[in-house]
Amino acid sequence: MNPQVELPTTKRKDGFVIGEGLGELGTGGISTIPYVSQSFYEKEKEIWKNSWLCVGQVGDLKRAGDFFTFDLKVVNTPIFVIRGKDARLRAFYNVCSHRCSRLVGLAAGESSGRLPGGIVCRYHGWSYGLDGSLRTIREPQLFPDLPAKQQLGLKQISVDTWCGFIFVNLAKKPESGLEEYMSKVSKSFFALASGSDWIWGRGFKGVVRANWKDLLNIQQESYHVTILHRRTLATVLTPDVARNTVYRDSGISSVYTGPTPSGTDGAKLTAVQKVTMRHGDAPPRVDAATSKAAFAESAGIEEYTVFPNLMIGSWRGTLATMRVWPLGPRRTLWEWDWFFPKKPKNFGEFLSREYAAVLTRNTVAEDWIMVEHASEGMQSGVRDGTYVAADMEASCRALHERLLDKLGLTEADLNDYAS
Amino acid sequence: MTTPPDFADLEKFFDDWALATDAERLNKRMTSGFDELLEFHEAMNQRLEELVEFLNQFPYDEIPQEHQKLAYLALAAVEVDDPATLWKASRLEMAQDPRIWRNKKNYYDNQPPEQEGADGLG
Repeated sequence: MNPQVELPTTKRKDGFVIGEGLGELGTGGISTIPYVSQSFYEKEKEIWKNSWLCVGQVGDLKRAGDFFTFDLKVVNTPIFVIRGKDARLRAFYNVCSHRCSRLVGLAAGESSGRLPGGIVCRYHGWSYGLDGSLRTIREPQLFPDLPAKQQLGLKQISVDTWCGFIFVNLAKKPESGLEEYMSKVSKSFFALASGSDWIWGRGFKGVVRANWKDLLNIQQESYHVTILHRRTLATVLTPDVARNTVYRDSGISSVYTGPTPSGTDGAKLTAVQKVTMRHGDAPPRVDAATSKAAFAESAGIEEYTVFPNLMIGSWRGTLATMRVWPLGPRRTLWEWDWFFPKKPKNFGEFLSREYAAVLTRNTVAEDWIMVEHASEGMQSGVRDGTYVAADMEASCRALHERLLDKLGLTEADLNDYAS
Repeated sequence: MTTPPDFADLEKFFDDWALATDAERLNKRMTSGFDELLEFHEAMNQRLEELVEFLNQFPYDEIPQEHQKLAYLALAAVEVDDPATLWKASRLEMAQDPRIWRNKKNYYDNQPPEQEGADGLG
C-alpha cells in the first residue's frame, strides 16, 4: 500500500498558505497538566506501550545475528532487535526466561554486536536461537517442574520496517500495521524515503528539562521562527509561506511543509555559503550584507510528526529524524539524526553536511533554552493553560487532541491528574 | 595530481584554529573574542573556495597528513561563518550552550548523557 496522498494547499487572500484538516480542531487553550503532572505521566505509559516507536535502521543489522539493544526507559523496558538466519528481523524483551537477567548488551559500550551462533545468557548459561526459541538449559535435571520448552522462548515484540527505519510496538496486538500507520506521507516524500539505502551520517543527543511534548511542539509550530530564530533558522526558511496539515487517522499527527530559498538572486554570499551550496546539501542562504533571503516556491522542507515521538523530515535530498524519549514529566532525552543517500564523495560534500548540522545544532540550542523556560513557567502553576495560534500552531493542538483521544480522556478529565 | 596552491598565509592560524573535532571547533568559537573570530573568518573567506577545490582531489576521509590542518581550518570556517556575518557575535544571546550536545555513536545510541539541562555544564 503505497501512499496516495497529495498534500493539499489553500492560499488565502493575505498570501498565507495553509493545509487542510485545521477546521476540525478545537480552538481553546491547552491545559498545562499534561506537561507537568506526574500522575498524567503515569497515565501516558499506555501510549508508550501501544504505539509504533522508531528504534533503529536496517543498515545496522545487515547479517544474521547482528543485534542492537534499546532501552524504553519510560516503561522500564529493555529490548533488542536481531536479524535471524532466515533474514527476518525480530524484536525481543531483553530479559532471560530463567531469572530475568539482561541477555545481550550486558556491559557498558556493548549496545550492539553479532551473535550468529545464538544467544547465551551470561548469568546461568541458558541459550536461545536467533528466533528466540529456548535451545538449552544447563543441568536440566535441576528443573523438574518447568513448563514446556516452547513456552520458555524469549518474549517477542512486534517489529516492522518503513523505508529502512525499524519500529517496534509493545502492544500484544498493535491497533494497526506500520504501513497503514505511515500511510499519510506524501507520494513525493515516500519516493524520497524509499528511494535510497540511507546511511546514518551523524547525530546529537541531550537531556532537556522539559516534557517530551514541549520538544515536539516547538519543532512542529512555525509561529516562533521569526522571533526566536531570527539569526538562525529564519535565514533559510520563511514561516509565513509554510503550511500545516493535520490528520486524525493513521499515525501521522501533522505535517509541516514550507519552501526554502530557491536561489540567491544576486545575494552577497560568504565563501562558506558558496562552497556548501556548490557541494550539495546546504541550503541557499541569506545575503550576508542585508540578511534578506531570496524566497520562492520550491521544493523545501517537509516534516512529519509521527505519533507519539518521531519527527521525520526531508531537507534537500537528505533525511533527518528527531526523537524524544521521556525520562520523567519534565525530563526528556532529545535526539537528532541525519541520513544521506551516499557517503560524501569529496571534502566539499563533507563540509557541506557539516554546515547543515551546525545550523541545526545552533537553531535547536535556541529551542532548548526556550522549552526549559516555558516548562518552568508551566510547573509554577501561575497559569492553567496556554493559548494556541490558529494555523501556525495547529499541529500542537492536533497533538494534544490525539493524545487525549488515545488515552480516552476529555479536557474535563484532566483535572483528575492535577498532581 | 593538482599542484598545491600556496596556503602559507593560513599557517598562522594553525595553532589556534586547526582543531580535529567538531567539539573543539565549537569550543574555540564559543570562547574566542569577536575580533579574533572576525580576523580568522576574513582570512578564510578569501581562501576557502580555492582551498576546498584543492582538498577535493582527496577522498574526504583520507586527506594526507601534510594537508590535514588545512582541512581542519576549512571546517572551523563553517563553525564561525554565521557568528561572523549574521550574529555579529561569538555566541547566540538566547540559546542553550551547544557544547552540552553529545555526539551519538550510531542511530540506536540512546543512553542519556550524564550532563543535562541548562545548568548541567558545571
